[in-house]
Amino acid sequence: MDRAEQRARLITARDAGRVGCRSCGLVAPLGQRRCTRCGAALQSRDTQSLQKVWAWWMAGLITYIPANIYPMLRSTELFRTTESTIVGGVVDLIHYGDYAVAAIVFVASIVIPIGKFGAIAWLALILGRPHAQDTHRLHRVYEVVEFIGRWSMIDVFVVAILSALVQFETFATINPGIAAISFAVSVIFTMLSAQSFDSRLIWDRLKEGTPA
Amino acid sequence: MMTDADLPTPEPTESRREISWVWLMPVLAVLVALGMVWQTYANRGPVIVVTFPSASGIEAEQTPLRYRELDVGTVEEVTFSEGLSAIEVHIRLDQKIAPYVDAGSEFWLVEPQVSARGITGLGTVLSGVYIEGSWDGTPGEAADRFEALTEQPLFSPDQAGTRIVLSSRTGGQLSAGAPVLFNGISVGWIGRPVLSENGLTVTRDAFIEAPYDARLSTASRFWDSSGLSFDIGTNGVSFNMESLAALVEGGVTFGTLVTGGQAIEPGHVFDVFSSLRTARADALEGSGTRLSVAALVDASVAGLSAGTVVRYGRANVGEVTAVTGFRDADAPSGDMQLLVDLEIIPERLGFAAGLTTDEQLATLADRIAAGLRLRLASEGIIGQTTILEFIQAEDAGAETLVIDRTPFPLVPTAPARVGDATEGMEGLVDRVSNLPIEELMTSAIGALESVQQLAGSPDALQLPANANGLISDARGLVGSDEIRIALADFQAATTDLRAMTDEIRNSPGLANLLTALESSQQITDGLAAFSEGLPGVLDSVAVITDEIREVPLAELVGSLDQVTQQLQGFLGSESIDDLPEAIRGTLEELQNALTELRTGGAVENLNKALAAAQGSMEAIEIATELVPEVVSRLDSTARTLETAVSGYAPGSRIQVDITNALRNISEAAAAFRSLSRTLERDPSSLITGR
Repeated sequence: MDRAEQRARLITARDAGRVGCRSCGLVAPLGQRRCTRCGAALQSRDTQSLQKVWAWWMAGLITYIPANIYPMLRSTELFRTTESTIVGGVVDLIHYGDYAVAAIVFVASIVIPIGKFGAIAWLALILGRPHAQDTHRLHRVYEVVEFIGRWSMIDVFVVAILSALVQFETFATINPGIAAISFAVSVIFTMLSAQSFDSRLIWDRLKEGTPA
Repeated sequence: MMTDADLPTPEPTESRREISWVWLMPVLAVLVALGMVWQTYANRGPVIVVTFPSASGIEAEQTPLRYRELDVGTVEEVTFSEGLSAIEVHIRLDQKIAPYVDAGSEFWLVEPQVSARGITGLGTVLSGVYIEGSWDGTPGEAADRFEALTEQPLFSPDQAGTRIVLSSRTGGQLSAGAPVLFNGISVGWIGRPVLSENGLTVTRDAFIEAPYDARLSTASRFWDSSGLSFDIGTNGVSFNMESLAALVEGGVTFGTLVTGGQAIEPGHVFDVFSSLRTARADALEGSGTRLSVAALVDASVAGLSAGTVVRYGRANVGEVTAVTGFRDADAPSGDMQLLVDLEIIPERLGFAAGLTTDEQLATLADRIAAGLRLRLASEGIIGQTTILEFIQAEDAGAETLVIDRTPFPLVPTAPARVGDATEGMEGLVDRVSNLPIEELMTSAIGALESVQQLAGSPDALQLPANANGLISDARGLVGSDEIRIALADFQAATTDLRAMTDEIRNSPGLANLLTALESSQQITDGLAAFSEGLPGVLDSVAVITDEIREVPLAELVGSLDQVTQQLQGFLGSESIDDLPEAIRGTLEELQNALTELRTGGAVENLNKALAAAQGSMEAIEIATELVPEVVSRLDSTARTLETAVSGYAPGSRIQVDITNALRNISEAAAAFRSLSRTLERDPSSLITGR
């Protein structure tokens, strides 16, 4: 299927004078304020979407900095307290030979968040002005970002579970560091950022007459 | 089907340029982050640098600084100092504690330590070392560079108690951290031993905790209570052990053995004695300051070692602290000599108390100029011990105190008085025989002789004989039990005295003295018994005299007269003429005799007898007076030495000599007694020597 052909065949709801309910999917005529089925507010396009995306994105990025600087875990083993940051933890794990775990932590805590920041920023930049990208690809990227967002919490879950389980007083204690909270907040912010993204915008700014 | 035309015209998208509230979130995040950064920096305390000789386990960002076991800072960085001579540890202090870390602060590394008293710093085995800080509770002059202590200080500045210094001859068993005990309670601890500059004594700081430090005074004595003490004495075997820690690590006990101590200043120096016994001896004799001197003796001398006694006369005045070889570079022969270091107590040499060391040395130099010398001597009754003694040499040369040739002033020596066992024995016997036994015996003999003379005087002997014929019942009185007992006692006393005299004459020596002394006792007893009997004798004699007086002499004379007159009448009668001339002569002789008798012969004889009795009475009275005198003379002779002692000023050398002589005699006597007992029991000991 040719891209121009594809574009020619695509008619957005907005083009069709309709507005889709984002909650239940019911299509209503453009201009209707509320969904007749579920009562959700109907809006053809979220005009503040990109603003929100950028705002959450920046908040997420800011909180991601302390999440990497400050210690993620405070583990106390027999009077000896070690504090490890995310990167430090990965390095330690590599030193111990746990490459698999190191890889998981590295992917979950560094690759995914940074990839997400990049992806969201890329999408938001592209959609900020008319573009000639493959809308299907853009959409797929968006879907992936939104799907994967929650998995970034895997780190926070690990810390939370360890902190809850490993509490043997003097022998071994693990407490979450300040970075755990920062990281969790950062993940929440990036998820909100991804959610603020109005994916319908992907279809709006296609440059008319862009060569295929 | 709707067509495009049916669709409502899309409303133009209103491009509202209003700002979303979501922007608050990044602003908030920035604010929070800035707030955190600000707080971190605002709460950061200053960095101090502590210099350690080695890093030994200190890790950056890891090793904490602790004060009273609480983290008050963390090591930020560990670097080398300039020239790589030390490790500089940069410590970030907590802001709240920073003002207190002033110039007087001390830092040291806490590492695990295993000692007899227990294991300390066990936590650091797993957690790693930490740096402990110590400072007082008042902010002072700020400082940021410190030198770490090599070990934990003895006490922290805010700990209540008193720091003292313990000085002893050797490091001994006392290791750092050993307890200081008082009445068995641990009241403090001692620090690491430090060798003094001259290398002869070991000093340690010790800390006595409050309130026990109130027990410290200048009269306190410290002694080593380490390990086991094992005493065999007259009370049997005593076995003593302080705490187990004291056994392994050593311990010092202190006590106040004499009263009258004054309060001490912190840092007061106490000597540590080797045992309670020596400490008590010191406390009782009074130690005074010690003066270190030295002497050079021939290298061939055996038996000199640290601890050898130094005597002056019979008094201990100090002891040898060290014996080292000494080769004088200037001496031509280059022979090795022994350099003997001594510690003496100048007061016991008769020096005035309270002199400074210089003054003591000056006094010593004066005494040496006056002939004071040090010499080797041997002493002991059977076993020989080498000692050093100060003597007043008669023919002393011109040697002087040599100050700067050896570490301590050098006292000139006199030829040694080292003899073998026989000489020692002879010396003892000499000393015994030099005692004024002769005088004692002479006076005793004199007294006894006068008693003998009295008892054996013809008057006394004739008294009963004279009186016998005249008064028969006087015999009964004379032979009464009292007199017999008295006389028997007297006889026994005389015999004892004689035996004693003989024994003393026949066998000079100590055994004689003993016997003599015992006999003297018996004499005294006998004399005492005699004196008790005397009143009885006197009474009896008085009765005799009375009875003699009551004899009807007048009647006797009268009867004699009558006889005479009758005889005269008879002789003068006519019939007498018839008698032959012979008879007449005889009668005339009889008459003469009677006349003689009448004119006083018999009476005079009687008078004489009575006078003799009177004389013997007086003699006995004199004797009675003599008896106490004899006793007192015996007493006084026995106490000659004592009187001699009291005759001299206290503390004088002669008194010390005599006291020692007396002590030696009694010791010698005891030794002899036990020796003889031993020999009695086990004659083979003579051969085996045990």
